[in-house]
Amino acid sequence: MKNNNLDVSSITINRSSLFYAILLGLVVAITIALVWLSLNNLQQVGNEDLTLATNSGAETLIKTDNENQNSSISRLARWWTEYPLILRKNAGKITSHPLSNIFLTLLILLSALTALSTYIILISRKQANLIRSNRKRMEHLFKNLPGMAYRSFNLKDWPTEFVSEGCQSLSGYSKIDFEQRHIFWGKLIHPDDYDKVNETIQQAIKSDGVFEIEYRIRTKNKKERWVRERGEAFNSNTINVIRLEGFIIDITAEKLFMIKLFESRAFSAAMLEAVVEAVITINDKNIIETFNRTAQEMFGYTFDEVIGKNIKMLMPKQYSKEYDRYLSRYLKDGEPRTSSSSREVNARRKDGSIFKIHVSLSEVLNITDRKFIGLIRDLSQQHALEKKTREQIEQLAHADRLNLLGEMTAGIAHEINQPLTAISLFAQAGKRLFESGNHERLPETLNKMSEHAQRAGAVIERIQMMAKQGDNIKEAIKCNVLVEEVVKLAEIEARTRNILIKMDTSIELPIVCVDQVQIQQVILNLLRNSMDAMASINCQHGNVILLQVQFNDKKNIEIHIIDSGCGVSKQAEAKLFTPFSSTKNKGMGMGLSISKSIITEHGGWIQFQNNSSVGSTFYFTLPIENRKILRSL
Amino acid sequence: MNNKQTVFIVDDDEGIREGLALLLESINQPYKLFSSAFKFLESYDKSHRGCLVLDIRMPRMTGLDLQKRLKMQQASLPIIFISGHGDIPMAVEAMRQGAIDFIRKPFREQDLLDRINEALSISFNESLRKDVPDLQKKLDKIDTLSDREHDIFNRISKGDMNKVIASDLSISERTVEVHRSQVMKKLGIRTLAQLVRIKIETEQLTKT
Repeated sequence: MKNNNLDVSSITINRSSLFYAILLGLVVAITIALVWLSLNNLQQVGNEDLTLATNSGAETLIKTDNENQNSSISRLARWWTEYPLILRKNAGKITSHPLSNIFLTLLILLSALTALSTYIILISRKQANLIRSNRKRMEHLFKNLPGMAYRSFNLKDWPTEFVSEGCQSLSGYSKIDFEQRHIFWGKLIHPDDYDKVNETIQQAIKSDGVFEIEYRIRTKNKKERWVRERGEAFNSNTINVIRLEGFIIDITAEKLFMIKLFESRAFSAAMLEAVVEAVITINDKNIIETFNRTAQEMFGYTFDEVIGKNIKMLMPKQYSKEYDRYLSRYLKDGEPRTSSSSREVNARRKDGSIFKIHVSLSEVLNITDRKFIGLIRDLSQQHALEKKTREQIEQLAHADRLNLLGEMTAGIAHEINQPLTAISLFAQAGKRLFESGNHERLPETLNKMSEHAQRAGAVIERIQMMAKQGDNIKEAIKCNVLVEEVVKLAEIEARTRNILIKMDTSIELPIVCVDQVQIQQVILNLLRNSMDAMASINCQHGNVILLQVQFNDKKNIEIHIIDSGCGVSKQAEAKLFTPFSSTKNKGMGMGLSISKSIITEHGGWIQFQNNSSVGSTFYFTLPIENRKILRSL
Repeated sequence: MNNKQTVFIVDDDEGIREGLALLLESINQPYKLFSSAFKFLESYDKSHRGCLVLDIRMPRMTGLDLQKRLKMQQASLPIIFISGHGDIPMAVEAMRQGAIDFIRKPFREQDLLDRINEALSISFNESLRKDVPDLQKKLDKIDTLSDREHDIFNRISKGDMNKVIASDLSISERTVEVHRSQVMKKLGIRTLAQLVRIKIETEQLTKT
């Protein structure tokens, strides 16, 4: 394109020059012709011979000079006035002169020569101007380019023939330094890179001559810079040396950025491989893009088996729908989220086994597309550990429950003996009534028997529930049901000790998700402790235990057991919740420590305080079950 | 013969009250029911004749408390205690305080009726020392007990349970049971109450 433009401009320049040259040639020719004609006329006028108009110019001129030197001025004046007439008079006779054809030919040649020379002068001048301006433009261009253009010889260290101004900013050396060979480009090349550069260039010369190479140079002030050189080798016609021509730019910033990028990539790659979490990246179409080593170990798939596949292959089938909803909700929000959203879900291994994981999902804020990183922790081990802890707690708790029941034997026996005695009485009375022929009251008697049998059954059921080995399953249960049931159990003993348990549950109680038996065990333990504390001072401050259930905040309920017993002494306080410490003669010292384990395992806490007046209050919290979750159960 | 006398029943358990009532009704024995010791005391009059069937374990005022109150009022109403499984020490105490008998729940109706009849006849005769002539015989019987049997006899009469005795003597519960039945056999008795009574009577004799 540029070449074409230059051609076009030079053509227009040439055309105008030609025009001017021809014009000038014509002007010169006409002038000469006029001079000649006028001189011819002047001679004739001087001789006053109008018929001698055919005399040659040269002869006439000589004659005129010789003969009429003195009167030439006056003749000239006359010519000026009479010339048009003379011209008219002699018009037909001029061509007849034998010398006039030669003169005309010379005249034309002369004018053509003039025109040509003028043209050449004009053209060359314009060309010079053009070259000058081109050069200026080129220099300007080179100056503004972020690098340097060069032409050099393919000799040792590549001595330069030409460099652009950019050499200064690139290398610190001036154009003159290079062009006068104070410095060679090759000397600037980093010694470690020199051979590589040389080899590349020599290789290029052997093939098509074009080369491109990145290497380091050392600038004048000993700084290291990365450059990219793009050049071409060609044979010069004049000397028998190969020349190189090309362009070198500074790519230090780019290179450093690349190095940093590479380093950070290497760092993140190393990190991905090292982390204990499984890291999986997916795009917005759920396609797996990365899958680190932990992920491979965790799921049992190799990298190649999952890459490019849908993330759903790692989920149990029933979860994939839920996941769709979750992700579509996430994407619908529009706004990319940096804050991760984490949850516990089930995952599927290659062998099909299902295991619990904790996923925290966050979005990579890419410019082009949306990507998500999932950080996954295998909860199966953690869950196994938690399960083991729960089992241990339950084992201890179970032992404690059996111990509790053992201590309650008297009360339990009494509680069962009551209905049994009643049944026995009704049966024997019924028998007598039957024998005496009094049949009217028999149905009533039998009803009573059945009623009391059920009553005994209920007691046994309550005790059985306490005695059984727990299954460690937490269930959603209404708080008042939980409390009322255990109070009935506690009352078995309370009755034998002449103690009353009052429940204060004026509020509407929420639902809690608990291991029912264990929580009832805690309450039973606390109630029995209160009974012991009250019995130890013979219930002198009253025989009522108050059981209050109230909201601690919106997330927890608090259950208080308030007694009027002996309170907790300072010595006992320190060891209150530690195992095998008891203030009771026959106490195992397990009740409170197990109660604490149970409550902690349920996500609550247990505490006590001595009342301001008499007795003490033990209280514990339980997290309220989220109704949303409950609905989905 | 006891028709004029009333059986006063004090028990906090409605089922047992009703059962006892029906039983007494079936033999046409007059009775009165009270759901607590207080209610009985409210309506009690020294002139009342009969016997008291008293639950040993009741809220607020126990059977023992009521027995003490009646003793303070010098009421001569014979008392039969109804006790539970674990209440033997209390029952033994009640016997020492002058109760004529105790019966453990659940019981055979005939056992209770026999005791009630006995009590009503004591009440009728107003004699608590009916058994005195037999006392020497009983002492002789006690002498036939081996040392281990004697030890166990003493412990049982205090209300100790087999389990506790076994633990204290470092023998098995089964062995205690064997000794126990041997004691009962040698003394010619059937019930724990009789055993306790022999113990109390012989103690009183040795004291005097």
